[in-house]
Amino acid sequence: MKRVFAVAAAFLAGAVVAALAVRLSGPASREPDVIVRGVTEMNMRDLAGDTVNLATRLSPRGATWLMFFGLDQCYSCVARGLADLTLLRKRGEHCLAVAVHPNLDEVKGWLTHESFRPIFVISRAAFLNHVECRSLPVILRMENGRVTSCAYPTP
Amino acid sequence: MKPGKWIWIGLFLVGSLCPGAGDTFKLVEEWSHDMEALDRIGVTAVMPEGNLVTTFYKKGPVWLSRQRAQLVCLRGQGPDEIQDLFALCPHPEGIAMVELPSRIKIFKKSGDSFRCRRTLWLQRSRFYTTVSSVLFSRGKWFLAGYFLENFSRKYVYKKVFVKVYDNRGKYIKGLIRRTDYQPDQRHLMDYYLVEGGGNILYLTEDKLRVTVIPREKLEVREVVELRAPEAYKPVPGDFYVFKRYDDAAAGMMRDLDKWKTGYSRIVCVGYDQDELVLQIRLPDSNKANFMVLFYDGGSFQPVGRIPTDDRLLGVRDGRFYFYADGDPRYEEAADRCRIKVCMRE
Repeated sequence: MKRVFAVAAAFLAGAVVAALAVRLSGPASREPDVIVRGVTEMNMRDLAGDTVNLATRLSPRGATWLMFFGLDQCYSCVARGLADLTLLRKRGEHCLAVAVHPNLDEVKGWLTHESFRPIFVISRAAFLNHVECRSLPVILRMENGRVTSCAYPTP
Repeated sequence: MKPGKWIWIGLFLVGSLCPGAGDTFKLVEEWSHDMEALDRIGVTAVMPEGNLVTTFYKKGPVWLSRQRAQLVCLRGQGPDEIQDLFALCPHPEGIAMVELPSRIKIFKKSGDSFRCRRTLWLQRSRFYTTVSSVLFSRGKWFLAGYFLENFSRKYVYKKVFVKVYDNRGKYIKGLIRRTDYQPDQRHLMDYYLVEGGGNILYLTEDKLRVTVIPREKLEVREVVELRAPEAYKPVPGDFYVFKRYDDAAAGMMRDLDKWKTGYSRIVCVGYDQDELVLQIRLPDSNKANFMVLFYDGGSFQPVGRIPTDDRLLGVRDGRFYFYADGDPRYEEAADRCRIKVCMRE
């Protein structure tokens, strides 16, 4: 009988350890699964067409909330992301959004009925050079040029 | 008087009172083009000069004139391309095409090709949107389709079927609302908008019913049930119910083909010379595959009907434009691109 209990206890202990390992290494862990490389070399354009460096737009003291999105992606998700940024800004956070698209005029047209600003534009190639993430849209929290957390907005 | 004469007199009276008896189409022109179209016909715009822009599934928008049939644009994301075409209509500047479905591109013919002259972005909705018909009237865009207004929380599906936008794409109003408590597949249906008699007329493919929307007031004035012909096979109530398929693509396509051909659904709507013109399918008829119905534009009383095997594309200035022998997807005889231009006599 004792042997049966010992086997059951060992099995339970193993299951708990495995569950913890999965939990800590999976998406629920605190380590963000987004990588941003070379922030100081990451050039974007503002809606007037002028080149802007991302590093100059990040908050020098606190955190900056930054959303990357595409025009052709799920609009429900993009709208939720922009609404989240608006809420964060109301709480005093520094927020901006970046559209990943090659054509500035297309982005301007897309933004006709959107109120959130500032929005910048980055080409797809530049985005892929500097950012690695699962999908778009994605919201990053950046502090001192590093990603401290991320979220994928959904409706 | 002999009883036989009474029978003849009776038959004459019945024949004269029967709406549209004796109506036929007289062929005026026939355009024949070397173009292969194998999938079903979508929406058609009859341009003011009498040419057509017709969408063929898997092919795109095609300009059809007496001389030629040519693609208006290729599919793509470029400035002179269309990504996902939902609906089109004539516009004072050219052809307006709804894509994505929150963008309208206006193409104009320049020489032998078409160029996009203007792009208009519509105010987007966060919820599922599909457009089936578009109309531009006096500076307003009318879109008919399936527009969800919430997510399916607690199985409540709020929908609106007509949306009105101003000239700059700003949303003005939604009309014809409906709340359901079960999911459905009505986004696969065709919805029609036509302009006539100072009103916008809204119809769905599954009912002989017209909703009258005054153009300036933007509210539903009346809903009129149209009288159906004897051969009309009504669409059942469980049409477009939500189903889970084992093989989603094949199962849904099989159902879609059955829905599109098995009942007397409306396949084309037009308004011309104070008459509402509909074409319905006749699934159980040995005589013809379709029937064109005419209704008075004011009272919506039937004024005529003509059975035909040709698929009506549109009507303008008394000229009826048909795709010969039916729809290329559903009728095997319709394997050649022949456009019949007819007049009613």
